[in-house]
Amino acid sequence: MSSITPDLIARNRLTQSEYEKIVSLLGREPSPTELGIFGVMWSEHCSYKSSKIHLKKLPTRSKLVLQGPGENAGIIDIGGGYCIAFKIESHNHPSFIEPFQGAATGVGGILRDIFTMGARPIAVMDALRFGSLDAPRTKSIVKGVVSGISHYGNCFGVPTIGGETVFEPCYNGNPLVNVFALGVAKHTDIFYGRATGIGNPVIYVGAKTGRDGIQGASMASEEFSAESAAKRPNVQVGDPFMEKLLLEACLEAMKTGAIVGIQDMGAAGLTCSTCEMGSRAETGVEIDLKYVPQRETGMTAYEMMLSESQERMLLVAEKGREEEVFAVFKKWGLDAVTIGTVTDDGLLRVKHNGEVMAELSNRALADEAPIYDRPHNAKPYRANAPFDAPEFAVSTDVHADLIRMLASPDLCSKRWIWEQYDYTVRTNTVQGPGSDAAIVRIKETGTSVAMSLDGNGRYCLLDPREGVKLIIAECCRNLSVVGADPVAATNNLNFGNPERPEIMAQLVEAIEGMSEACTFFETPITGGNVSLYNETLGEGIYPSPVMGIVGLLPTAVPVPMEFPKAGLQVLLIGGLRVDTNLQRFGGTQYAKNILNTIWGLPPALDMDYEKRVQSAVREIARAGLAAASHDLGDGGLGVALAECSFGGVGAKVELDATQVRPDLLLFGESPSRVIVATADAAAVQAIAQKHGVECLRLGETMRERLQIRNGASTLVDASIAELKGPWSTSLETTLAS
Amino acid sequence: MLRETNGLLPIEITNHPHKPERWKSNDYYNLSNDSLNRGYNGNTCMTARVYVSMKPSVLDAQGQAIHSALKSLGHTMVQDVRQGKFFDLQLAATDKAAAAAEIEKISHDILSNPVIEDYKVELMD
Repeated sequence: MSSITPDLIARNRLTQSEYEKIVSLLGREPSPTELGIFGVMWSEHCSYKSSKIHLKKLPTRSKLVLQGPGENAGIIDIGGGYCIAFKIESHNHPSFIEPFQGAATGVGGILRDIFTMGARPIAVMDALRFGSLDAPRTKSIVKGVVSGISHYGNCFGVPTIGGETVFEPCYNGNPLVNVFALGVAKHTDIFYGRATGIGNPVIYVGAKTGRDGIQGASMASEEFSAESAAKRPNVQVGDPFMEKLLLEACLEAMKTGAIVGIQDMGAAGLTCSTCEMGSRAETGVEIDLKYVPQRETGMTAYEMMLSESQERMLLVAEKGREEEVFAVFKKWGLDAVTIGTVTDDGLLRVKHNGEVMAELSNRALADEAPIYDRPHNAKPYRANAPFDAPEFAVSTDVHADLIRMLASPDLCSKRWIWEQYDYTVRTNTVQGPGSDAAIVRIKETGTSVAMSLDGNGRYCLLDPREGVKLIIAECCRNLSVVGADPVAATNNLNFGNPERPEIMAQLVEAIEGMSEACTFFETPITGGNVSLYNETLGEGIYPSPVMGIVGLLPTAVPVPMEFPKAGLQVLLIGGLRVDTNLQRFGGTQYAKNILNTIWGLPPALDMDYEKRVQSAVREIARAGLAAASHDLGDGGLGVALAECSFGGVGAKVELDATQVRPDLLLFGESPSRVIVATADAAAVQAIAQKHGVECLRLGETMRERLQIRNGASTLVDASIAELKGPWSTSLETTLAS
Repeated sequence: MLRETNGLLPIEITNHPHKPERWKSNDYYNLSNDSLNRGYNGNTCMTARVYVSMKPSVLDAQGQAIHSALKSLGHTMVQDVRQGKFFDLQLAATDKAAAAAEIEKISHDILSNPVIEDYKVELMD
């Protein structure tokens, strides 16, 4: 009588046909433990079975890429014998169930991915998506997530230097928490997750194993239902102080030269780390669970293999040098135990109480998961967004509109969030939160690394392909504003249920757009994360790809966003680029906050022009000509000018576009535009001309007021305090109410 | 440093008004004293004690830190530590069953995080 019932198969989130594939790969029926192992390894979260065939379309190489996708993090050469490792990862589902711990362990997980590679984490950024602030749970989710991130990052000692936060009703039942981390290492200190060397010991280090988060990976591959509440014990609790010890111990142990491979135990814990390390090295791994440090008694093999206890690592050491490794971990007060050996048979063999509980091919687990070419021949899902623009009256008071927009949750100051983060720890932060791009200095090389996170669910809902291109253009523009060359990217693909063709179509369109833009901007994807099934009760999120792009630059005084003094020339590199096609206005923040709707298409992007604008802006920044610089993004020219004024110095802007509607003029979101304040307008103009981009004089900076005139009419005339007040207090006030 | 603190702690606790032995007894709250035993509207007072601790399978980082401190101080007998907290709530209520139901709700919704914590309610009158 078979112990594997259809119910057990379903509980391990495998389909009948997947089960049949397992039986044919094994040539026999799996044991319940083996079925559990297949269940997690073949989950969407670990196997990328729905996205893999499309992810292959992404560019992954350049002369700077030392390690592309497939390892724990991507690696880029930054010169001087050093490199950076970085990646973004989501922790969406856990953060909905238990916001504080879910977000905290999200930070913990990505930090381990970085130091597994031998790199010391030096920066974290977060892309957060929450529901509407008046939805019942949103405020408590916001508070929980933000304090979870600050708790883990601050205790661990890594600066959280940037990110972005968006509120949209589609995230009411499914917030997104995407954490980006970046670390630095010497070329010679890079480690990989490979179990090489037959006979080498397999060593378990770090925290003890408990029944935490069992089957978290397969949970993350399901839609939420009302029953999810009952799945709550799946949430793991992290300990950032333990992780700090683990970091120091791992980096020190790596220096002994006795370690040949290392991988963190994240999703699917012991299972994933053993079979992936074996699969990459084409070896087998045999472990005996009786040696695994345990926090609880009576755990079964199934529970130990699937546990997602935090702050654990698996490493393979050179045979005979175990003591050197143990000595380091003992010094840091951590458990380090040999739990098995590397074998030559390519199998993952798990023993427990003298019995073989699982004997499976590492390749089958890690690389032979079914690959689905899910139907995507439908039109991408657009919710209720029509293509045609509705009739909407020309705004009669753009001054009031501007103030309302500045106070809106998406555009208002996020100080309440980032002031909870330690963004200067390690003393390398050149430019922290609240700017276009964050910058950390790499003391070892005397250069800096700039990074930017960006996403825009509204654009991607209207056109996933063009939306992603706009996101990538904006990220690269953010980096260019501070003078950095964009060099590589990581992506977090947050989508709904891929089994629905109209959702799968969004994913495919987005990946293809990403491929095109990343190739064009020469920012290969070096790794990332796919998070599907972001739906609650059948209601999907907007397609929400998030891009993290890094750029390199010499260390210099950063270019501020705020105008530093009166009397500077204010120029708009790229020109006004007003798009009078109302269809292109439907994804803007104006449509969202003033008109409360969405329609049409995202703004039009000319990638070639965009690239030239970026080159020009980079050259202006590097030449030290920009006294202040800010790219135009959400909220368009009006919002960008206000943001530049929040230092207390505004501007007197005189436009000559009287034939254009004032709402389109101030709040259209055409890309490829950057504000530059300079004392040497002629030099800036010459650079713009050299790159073949327009350079429009907007006006001049002046103290304490922002005036925007168009021909004879005054559009905005406000004191800085009048604009800054609502902007700076909005989020805090809303959260406190 | 640790050793010194260790020497000082018991003395402080002995002199502390909230000394542990009394936590266990109801008379600390002067429940026999009529003036305290009546609510503002004349209802009889009851005390509810709610214990909150991490669920058995959830990592108790604080408990682990205490355990490793105990180990380093030579208390090798201790095999595991799980810590928690309790709340004492003074109630103006007469109906014990109704009070129990309300405290149950308070414990679940406010005093504990039922995702990762367990709670236990004791009603004392």
